[in-house]
Amino acid sequence: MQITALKNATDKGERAAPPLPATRQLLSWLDAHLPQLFLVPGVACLLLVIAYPVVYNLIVSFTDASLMYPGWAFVGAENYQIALGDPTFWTAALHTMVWTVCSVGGQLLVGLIAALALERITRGRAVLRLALIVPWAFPAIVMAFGWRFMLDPLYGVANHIMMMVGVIDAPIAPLSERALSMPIMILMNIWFGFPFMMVAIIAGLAAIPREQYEAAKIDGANWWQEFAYITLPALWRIISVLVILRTIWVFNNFEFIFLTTGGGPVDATTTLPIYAFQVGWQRYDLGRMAAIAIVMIVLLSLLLTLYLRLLRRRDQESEI
Amino acid sequence: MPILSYVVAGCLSIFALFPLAWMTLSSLKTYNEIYHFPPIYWPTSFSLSFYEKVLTTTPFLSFLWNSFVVSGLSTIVSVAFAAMAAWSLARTRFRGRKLLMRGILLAYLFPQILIVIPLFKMISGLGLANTYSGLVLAYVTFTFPFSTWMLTAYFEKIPYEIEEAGRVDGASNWTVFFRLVLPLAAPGIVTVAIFAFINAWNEFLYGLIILGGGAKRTLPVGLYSFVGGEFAQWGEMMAATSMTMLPTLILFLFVQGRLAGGLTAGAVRG
Repeated sequence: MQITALKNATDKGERAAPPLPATRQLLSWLDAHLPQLFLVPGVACLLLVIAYPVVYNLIVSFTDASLMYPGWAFVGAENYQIALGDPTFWTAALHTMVWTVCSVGGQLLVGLIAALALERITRGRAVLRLALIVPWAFPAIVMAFGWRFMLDPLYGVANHIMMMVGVIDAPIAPLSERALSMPIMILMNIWFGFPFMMVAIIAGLAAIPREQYEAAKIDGANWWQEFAYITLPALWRIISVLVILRTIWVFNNFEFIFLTTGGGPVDATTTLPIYAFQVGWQRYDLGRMAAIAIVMIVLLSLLLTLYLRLLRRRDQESEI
Repeated sequence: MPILSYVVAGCLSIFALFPLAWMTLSSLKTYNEIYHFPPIYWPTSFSLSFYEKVLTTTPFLSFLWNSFVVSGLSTIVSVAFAAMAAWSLARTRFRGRKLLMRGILLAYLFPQILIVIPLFKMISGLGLANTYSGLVLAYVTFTFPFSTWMLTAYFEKIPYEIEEAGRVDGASNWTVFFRLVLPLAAPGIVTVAIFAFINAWNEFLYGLIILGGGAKRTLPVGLYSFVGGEFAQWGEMMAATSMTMLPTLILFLFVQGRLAGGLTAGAVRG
């Protein structure tokens, strides 16, 4: 197949009429630099999503720019002072940390359990795998409305199930309870995110050589020992990559919470992206929104640095 | 032990599938059955009345069309850009290559909320606010980094000797790329394209900001505007969300096997 493709390709090249010398020179120059030219649209995209927004936010965060009025003036570090002096900012930062750490931890745990269970199953494995992967396909808006309907105070199925199990006596409004809304959001995020973890961990499990388990069996290792001394160390690298990717993604996630609770009740589920959106898009204060976005990146970088530190320490330990 | 595994996997499957099942079942109930407590788990008769209502009394179909246009166009453009860049990154060694690869990863570090306002300002500055082109531009920029990341891994797997052979036979770079590399990478490109399509189809925030409340609203933005206020009409909502879900679910299940390989290839490399 490759050879015929090649033949066709060269045939085409020969059959084309020879263009004028100048055009020809230009064409051959273009062709010689094709790999570099091919980068141009992509680099433009990257500049558009990285360089431009970062520079824009850095500048605007020191101004009083607003969505309501044109023009702006520099105000120094005022936006940062106001943002960092606002108690709502700090509760939002705390919520973000809880939301990120609990969601990612839960996704990883459930994903790992699902992967280990699937690994030991032979019959019906493909079907179960397909079923387990379904949440991943949910658009945020569909997930939000689906869960809101299940949690509806009047007609929600969640109330009925909890009453049957005996957790509650009368219907409640789960998403309006201050103490419940964040745990529910985290549960929803675990539901959405565990398939991704599971799929990646299954791929990691498949790469572990069978002989290691056979050797362990001969040495009389039990299931837990196999898991602790063979499986987990082998998965360590992939788990750390997954945790880092997911942390970035969950930390920055705006849609799930915005569409499900809108940050409420009051501010019980207001994370930093929601807070930034409220300040910028609903209160028109672009300068402060930019300042918050910059602080968010700093916080996320700190969190990731902490992770990388922990991972490195773990790596060194395992070498010893 | 296998029995325990079946129990665990079975319970998790119920957890995973329940929201989808409940959504579709509810959308097929009648008005009296859906507004009933305790809930009716299995409707006595199935009815399409909510679907009919959504399709005839709301702009659902025009939202659907908008979503198809925007997701389709942005997928084509971003995958084309990504294939070009990924080939370059996989095949040539040049100064700044590392920097570029890092830049692609860096694009993930930045919250959407940081990007959306500058992007909106620029798009409205170009006069593209509330247009298909404006949103397509936004979606191309946000799907490009991931598509490139995955495609670079695919291209690196294509044996370089094939390209060499083509060049020895006098093929130009252009011919090598379009007639040798692209056909060989077709499975990877299809996977990445489907993934980009799903991402664009599901996206909400850019759509909300760039399209506002206009006639070009995509499905997520349109559905969001359905629930203006306290009163949520659950039946219509569940019918609408079921229909929104269908294309992504089919595409996703079709592509999921290959997606796993691509994702982990990218992840382990990094």
